[in-house]
Amino acid sequence: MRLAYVHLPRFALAVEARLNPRLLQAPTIVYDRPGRRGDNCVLEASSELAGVYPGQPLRKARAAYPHAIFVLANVLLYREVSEAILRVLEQVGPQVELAEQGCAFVDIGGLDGHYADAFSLAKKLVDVVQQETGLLPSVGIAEGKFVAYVAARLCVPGDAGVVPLGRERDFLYDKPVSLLPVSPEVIEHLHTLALHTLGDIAGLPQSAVEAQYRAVGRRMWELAHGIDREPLRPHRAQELLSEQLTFDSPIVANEALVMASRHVLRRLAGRLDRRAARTMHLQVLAGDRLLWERLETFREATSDGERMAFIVKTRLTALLLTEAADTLVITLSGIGREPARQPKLITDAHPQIASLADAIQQIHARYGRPVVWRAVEVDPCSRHPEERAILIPYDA
Amino acid sequence: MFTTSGRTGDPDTVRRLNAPRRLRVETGGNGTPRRIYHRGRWLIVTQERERYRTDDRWWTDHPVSREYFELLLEDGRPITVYLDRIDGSWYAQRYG
Repeated sequence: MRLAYVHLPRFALAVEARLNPRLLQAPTIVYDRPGRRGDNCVLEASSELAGVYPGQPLRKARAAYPHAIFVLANVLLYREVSEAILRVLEQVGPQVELAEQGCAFVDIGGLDGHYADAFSLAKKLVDVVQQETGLLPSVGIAEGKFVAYVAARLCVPGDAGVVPLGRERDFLYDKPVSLLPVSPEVIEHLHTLALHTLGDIAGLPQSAVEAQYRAVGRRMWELAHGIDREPLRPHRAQELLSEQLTFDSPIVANEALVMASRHVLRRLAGRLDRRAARTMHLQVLAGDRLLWERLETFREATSDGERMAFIVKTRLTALLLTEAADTLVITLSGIGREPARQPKLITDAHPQIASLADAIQQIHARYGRPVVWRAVEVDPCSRHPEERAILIPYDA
Repeated sequence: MFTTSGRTGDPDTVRRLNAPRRLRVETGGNGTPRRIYHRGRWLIVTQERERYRTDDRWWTDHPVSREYFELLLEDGRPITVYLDRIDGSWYAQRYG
């Protein structure tokens, strides 16, 4: 499958630099607080800051580079820009898959006739992204995801790399193994075995790589040969129902958030209109900054507002806000028909149970002794049947 | 060999489910039931479906030793009976 990979390296940093161009001139670290306790972690760092990596505790990065510029991540903004990139790419090729934030694969099969050559098509992709977001991507065009990715990674922003059909293995031959989508430990291990390039791996028998690294080995060997069967999973626009509540003054009390969530859910329930939602996205914001978010996936699609409210209450009660919030947003997705469910003939909540219990009580009162009994398991694994269960009066 | 049926228990107390019920049994030469006295009449055993023995708690003062028979009676009714090898009595028991 002929694909284009649109690559925006250090996406968060690039988006922040759009607002503050000074960040491009100085070593910068973008950090976030994804931890449960609100620990600050590195999200991205300028290339010159060696030893700083995503997920690293911020205090370590700060100790190593105290003079760097530290920027708190604006996750919502990055998501917004990412979606904008998807939208404009879909205008060029309808099948687009978001790879990571700011980066996407585009199926370019059948587009050849519309452009003079592959480079014109790549230029078109660069242009639409730049016009929409002000960011300058690089583009790789090749057969399969991995080769397109490598081609884009090796280009400078604004440039494009095109790998002709059938030349994938030659193209990858001298490329470093660090481009493989495997863990850093595997990459390090490959280097200890003097396997530094993809050509080194491609030169080995498949069985040898597979014996050493199992399934990962097979995938590495295939990728080194330019074989990538990973299909494109197109991004599909889906219906979202979103409601938000903004507080007059910022709040930190969880109870207030819970009360607000009930109000928001009532509004959402009205919009659901007898349909059911599969997922619920909770977000707590301070201004336009995301303080906390959580995605809840229901076991089966539901339209039950009470059930949603219970889940929201559980999450919000356990939430530790590190600063005052001013907006609560709840978004429902996976909207569809509610699955049919076979109800129980008699449930505990059923009025028949109450009237049955009442009737049994009356019979017991009339005869002055228990008449209806309830079987209770005592030793269900006993070899003697009479020891497995007992009967006790129904109202006991 | 003949035995008599017994009480099933006091209805005002907690009861055992599937409690054994004594019954009268006529056995053949090899000790297998031939006829069973059930609801006022003798019924012939037409088929012996299964026969097995359980021995338990032999290390206590109340050992259990039973020989179970799963039988089919002449009216088509299946029944499970056992011979208590300690007191020599026959019992019917639902095996559920």
